[in-house]
Amino acid sequence: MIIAGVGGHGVIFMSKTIAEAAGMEGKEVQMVSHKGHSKREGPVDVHIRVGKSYSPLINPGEAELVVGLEPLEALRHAHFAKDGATFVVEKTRVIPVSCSLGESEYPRDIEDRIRDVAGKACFIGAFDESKKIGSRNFNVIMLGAASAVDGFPISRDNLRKALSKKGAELAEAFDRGIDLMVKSK
Amino acid sequence: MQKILTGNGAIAQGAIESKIRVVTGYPGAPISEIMEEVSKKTAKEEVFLEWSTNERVALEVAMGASFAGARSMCIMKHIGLNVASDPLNVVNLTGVVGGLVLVVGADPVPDSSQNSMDPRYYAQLANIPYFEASNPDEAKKMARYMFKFSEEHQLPAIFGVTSKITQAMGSVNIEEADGNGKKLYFDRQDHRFICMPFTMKQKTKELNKKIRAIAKNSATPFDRFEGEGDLTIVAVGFAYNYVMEAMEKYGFKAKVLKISRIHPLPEKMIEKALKESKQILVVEERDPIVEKEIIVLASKLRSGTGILGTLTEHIPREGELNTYEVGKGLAKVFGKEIPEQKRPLDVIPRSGTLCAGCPHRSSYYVISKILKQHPGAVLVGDRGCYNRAAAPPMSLLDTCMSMGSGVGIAEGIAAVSPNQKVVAVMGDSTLFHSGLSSILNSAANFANITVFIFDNSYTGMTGQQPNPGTGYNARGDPVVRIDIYDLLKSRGHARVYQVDPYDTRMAEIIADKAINDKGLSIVIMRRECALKSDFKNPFETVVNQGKCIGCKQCLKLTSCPALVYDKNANKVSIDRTKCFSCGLCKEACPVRAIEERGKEMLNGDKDAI
Repeated sequence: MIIAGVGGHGVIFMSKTIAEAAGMEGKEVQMVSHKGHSKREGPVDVHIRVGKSYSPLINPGEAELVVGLEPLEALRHAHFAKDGATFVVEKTRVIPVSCSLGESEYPRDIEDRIRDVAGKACFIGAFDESKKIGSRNFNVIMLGAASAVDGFPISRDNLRKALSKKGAELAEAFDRGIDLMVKSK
Repeated sequence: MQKILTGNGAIAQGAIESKIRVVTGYPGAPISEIMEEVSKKTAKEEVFLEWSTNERVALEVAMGASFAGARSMCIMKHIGLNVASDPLNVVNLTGVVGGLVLVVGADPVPDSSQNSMDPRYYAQLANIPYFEASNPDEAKKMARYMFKFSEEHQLPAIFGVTSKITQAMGSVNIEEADGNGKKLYFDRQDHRFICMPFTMKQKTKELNKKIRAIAKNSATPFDRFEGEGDLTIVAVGFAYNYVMEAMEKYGFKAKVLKISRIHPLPEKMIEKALKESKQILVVEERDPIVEKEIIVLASKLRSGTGILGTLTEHIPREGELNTYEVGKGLAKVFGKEIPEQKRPLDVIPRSGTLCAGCPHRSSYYVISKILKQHPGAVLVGDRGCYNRAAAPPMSLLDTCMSMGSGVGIAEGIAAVSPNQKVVAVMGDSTLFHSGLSSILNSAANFANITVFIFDNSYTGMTGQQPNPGTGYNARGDPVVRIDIYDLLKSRGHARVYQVDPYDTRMAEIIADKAINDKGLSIVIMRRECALKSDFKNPFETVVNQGKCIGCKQCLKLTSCPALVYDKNANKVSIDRTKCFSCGLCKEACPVRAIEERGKEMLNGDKDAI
């Protein structure tokens, strides 16, 4: 699977939680992050492969799940998805400065373009949900949502366990994410 | 015990298991986390840590510790090795006592550096061993192995990494620690550490002999043959993964020689491959270094084996390799074709910019404003966060070269082009790294330039590591803070000013004066990095929607990511989750639509967002 977002979203935290939970169930997991200018509004992504593989890198056309914490970043990684892959995408946009300046235009057809290549695409409002519960754990809500996708390789119980080590409120945010997905289905 | 670690975490773990005593370095992608990992897992009594002022100093500190018997590690980027190459090219000749490993992060793309130069040439230049790992578990084992290897052969060794290995996460086997048991005491050893002409002939001879012996006699536990076939693929470092995956994915069969020690190559294994294969395909990222070495060996052995690789254009030379590129190379060798890989969709780029609230943004705002009055003015950049302003949409800088180079370049331009105002900008860490010597040079040579020092108290670009101007060290322990104003004001004939860039009006007065000064003037723009600062403006910066005319001057002049323009409404608003309330956009607004308000007033005013 691929998780893509913008610096500050907490993509790396999500991937570490997945790695920890995979460890609990004795699953082999390899991942690699790419975070060039993560703190300066740049894109961040993580490739995660559960099971035996030589390299953590996912080749284009091989990802079964793409989790986008921002629509544009989901689209940027859409070519990694294999035919029939699932996309879980947050609807809230992070507008690049170049768009505000009018030097480029934020694409309006992202949802359509993702639906064109996805087997199944869920667009959710985890960011609004995170504001509602007074929690800044947007990334944990996204993780909960991703974990509710059919065939997600790591059990929710172990993910919850890995999260609860880092703070009790995280488990609640996680469950909110699962609810969001159930509702969107 | 198994633990999930990043490549950086694994290297740190390997060093800790080797009872490392000293870690030094200069931060930069992709190796900075090694220092943080060692810091987290050890106490200051066990391991001495330092973020050095530059890579040369870092290597020298590690060398000293090694001379006194301690295992030491020195971390830097590939370009940092250029800076450290001076001491590297003597410590290769004296050799070391305690194991000395340099971890050098390369950037083949480049993703976050000014070039993609291949640091492996330094292994050939200094004639010292160079290793590369293929996964985090191997990286940990290799780090352990290298400390022992370095001690056994009394040679410094380089552990070459890229972000693909340092940012990879995988299961790593944790083992018992095992040190070298040496008494830590400097022993002068009869001119061993004296590099002067009278000692050097012998030392050069000894080094060459050591490396010949390693090449001929020893393979590492990480180098091996796998599989069978008339073709042998020499898979170098991390590229081994691409080779194995490409064979599996596209259905090619070949013998694989996995190589981890790039210099000196395990010659017996290469000779065996040359004797037993019809063809050899060398798969290595960047320059054809291993390939050329194999060609030389083949020529010595008068081998008729065909050698393919980067030079024969089977493998690309620029950028990172991947499974598809290696698959295409294999397909070419076998005269077959592989299905084309999905290409990225056409998506607008999201380039990094200065953070909301960054004091550099205010500094640039002030400097650009003054420079508008000086047609033809040159703004010379340097390396750090502030070079984000060289990229669109800001595109303010005229040069951005190597670390600490700005002031020298500015002096040179000013020396020959007197009708252009020449202004250089430089960060605090760049000043401590190498910029200080350029400033002294410019002061001594009556350069007619203005230097702005963007002093945000941290080595910001690489993750806010401490430098001598921070006030704490790599372990977070308090140390004396070097004040840049105090440091520079002793330059007799240079004028030195200091101002807070958030105070744009005062900063404008001072910048204007400094730029119009004759000779060298220095302005220290001092404010803490916004990512570290606990600055709290009691008032929020808001756009009064009734007053905003949608001219976007605030965006054009600041490029702040917290400003959002709504095309339909033709208004700018502020993203509260990002805004730092630094107030710069308020200065930039020509119609005073951006206001600072207390929260109570804000709640009562429906015009405000």
